[in-house]
Amino acid sequence: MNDFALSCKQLTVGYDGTPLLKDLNFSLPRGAILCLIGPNGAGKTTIIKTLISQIKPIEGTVYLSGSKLSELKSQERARELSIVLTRPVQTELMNCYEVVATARHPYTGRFGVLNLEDEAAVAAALQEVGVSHLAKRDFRLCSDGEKQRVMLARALCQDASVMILDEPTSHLDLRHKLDFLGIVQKLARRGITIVMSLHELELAVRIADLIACVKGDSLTRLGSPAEIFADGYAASLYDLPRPEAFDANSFPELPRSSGEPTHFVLAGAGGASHLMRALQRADVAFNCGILADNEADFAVATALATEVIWTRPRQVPNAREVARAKSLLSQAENVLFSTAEEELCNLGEAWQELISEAKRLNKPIQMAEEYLHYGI
Amino acid sequence: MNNRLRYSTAFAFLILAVLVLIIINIGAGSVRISPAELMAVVRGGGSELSRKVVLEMRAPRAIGAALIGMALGLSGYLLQNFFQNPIAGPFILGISSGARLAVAIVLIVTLTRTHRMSSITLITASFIGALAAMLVVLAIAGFVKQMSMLIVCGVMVSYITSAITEYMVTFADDANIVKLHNWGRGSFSALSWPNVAVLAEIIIPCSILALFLSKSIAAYALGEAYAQNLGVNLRAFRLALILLASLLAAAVAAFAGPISFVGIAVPHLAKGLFKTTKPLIIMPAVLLGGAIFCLFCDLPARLLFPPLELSISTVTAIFGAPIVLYVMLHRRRQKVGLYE
Repeated sequence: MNDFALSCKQLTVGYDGTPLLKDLNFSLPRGAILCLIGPNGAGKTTIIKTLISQIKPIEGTVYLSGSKLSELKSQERARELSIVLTRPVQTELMNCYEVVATARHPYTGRFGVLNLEDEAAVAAALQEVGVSHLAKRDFRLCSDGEKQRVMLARALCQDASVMILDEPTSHLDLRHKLDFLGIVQKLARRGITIVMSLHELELAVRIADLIACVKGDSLTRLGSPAEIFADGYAASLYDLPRPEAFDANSFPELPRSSGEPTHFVLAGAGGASHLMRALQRADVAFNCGILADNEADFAVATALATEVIWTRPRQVPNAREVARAKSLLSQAENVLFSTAEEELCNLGEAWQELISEAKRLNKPIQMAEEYLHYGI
Repeated sequence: MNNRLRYSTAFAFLILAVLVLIIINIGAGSVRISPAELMAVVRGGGSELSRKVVLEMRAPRAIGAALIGMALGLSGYLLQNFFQNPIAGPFILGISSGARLAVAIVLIVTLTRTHRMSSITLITASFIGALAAMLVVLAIAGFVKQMSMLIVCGVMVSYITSAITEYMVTFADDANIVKLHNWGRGSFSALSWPNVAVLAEIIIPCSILALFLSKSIAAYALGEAYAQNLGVNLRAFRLALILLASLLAAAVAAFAGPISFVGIAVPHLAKGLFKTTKPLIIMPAVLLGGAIFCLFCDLPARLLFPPLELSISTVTAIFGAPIVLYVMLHRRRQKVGLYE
């Protein structure tokens, strides 16, 4: 327990004595990043409020840098634990320097006047996060991305060993999400232990050393991103209709088109994702083949196509697979080439056979191009 | 440093304004006292009339007005800060209604004739009434999670006490109704030296204590969650703040009745002048600004229609309301930059 920056033992959290989550256990070494993920209302914020001492634990203990959180004096705790919340604060007549400077509260004297050391800490924090140029600007006039980075600088300025962030990137655009998390990673490498609740799974899988899944009344899984995203677990965490459609490298798709498939998409050379999504938007049901199960199109096809013919990577499709593909192709009203015919031919005999079969059956052949522009 | 210069100049201006206004307040009136005459009185000389007017009437009134202004400015600032509400004032928690009810009870229940509002009984009664309202609010504060609920409670307490007061008024005789009405409009006429001494004994310690709270107030600028993370003891802070703000308001209500707008307008004026919200700067600023405001408003109150005195609330409202309006409109325009 004492070596860890932050740990919980048999922690039960909730409001007003009603337990919401039970038996939470984890231990974080210095510099680790823990992400809390889970559906809305699962209790991520409740855990965070308990970790930052806003609400008391119902049972169990939180240890911060070796000491029990409940036994720390508020000033000691302030020096060990800093926070960044989702929404930027409402300030009045404060510039960014002053907002960051509030973090020196646990270190200043009776009247909160900053000494040289404090001022140096503020300047260093602004510099590290890359917002020095905002120091003199009124906080209210900054964009959301800038505000969150200033709040991060503020948390850094507090010189705490543990930083807890509650969905800090929710309101940020993609660029700012990446910037923010890049800085968080930098801070973790400096030795600051990070606990973050995140809605964006695709970011959690990239930045977290440890992911805790919060659902029901406990941490349903605790492990590395690889462990969490194995066997479709992540999707079931969010009750997604098709668990296998969500892994570390792909994002779930919109619902598959219903009805009998009218099209056959001939793919395998990549670049078929846009086409398949266009078909989904047009509510066209289709079959697809022949893909390798390690290509990007495979995840999209599995989600959107009625049936997918696929092989292991670099395996020549066997006779059964080719026969099935031919059968599906013959049932289709239209055949779509996802890329140029030549590229498909280069993939191998199986594709050449399918192409000649399509021509033999006089199937109308369309190129992907025709589906990719708006207004057709 | 640009800021240092701004602050020193502004403070120098404010201190000067207070002194000048005190001299003007002492000097102006049906009996003119020139600054030279005033100096003579201060040194122990001066004519019999001058000494009487200055020492028994004008000086205590001026000093008292300044103290009351300080109390109102500071109380308004503390409450606006705490509730993050730009139109919160010292009496938002029902302090003046509690005081008014107590005054009504005393006026109606005691049959003895009391002359003017300067009787000790009325002052004590209004102070107790104000504190009773404060205790109700504090008790509720222990139960609510959201501090904004306290304003709702304060408003409700106001309504209830007003209703009871109005009920009691139906049984009052006309003279007492008039007295109650006059009390409610606020006046500096009860400011004798003994009263001013009590005012000072309440207001000055409260102001000093408030200055010691400045660090927590600064931490509070980011909201309760961050303040608590920085180590501020929220319960103690809330208690201290409500207590101080209410005591200041109670003192004002007791000796001068409820005086409107000073507490609401002065913090905004101070922030406009100093362009900052740092408590260590703004608290002295609202103390000085409040004094200036009241001293300034007492002049037309006393001098416009002699020998009649306008109620001080009338004058403060005429000057204060436009300020509050301007501030609110200005904030609207600024809010475009705010993420709602």
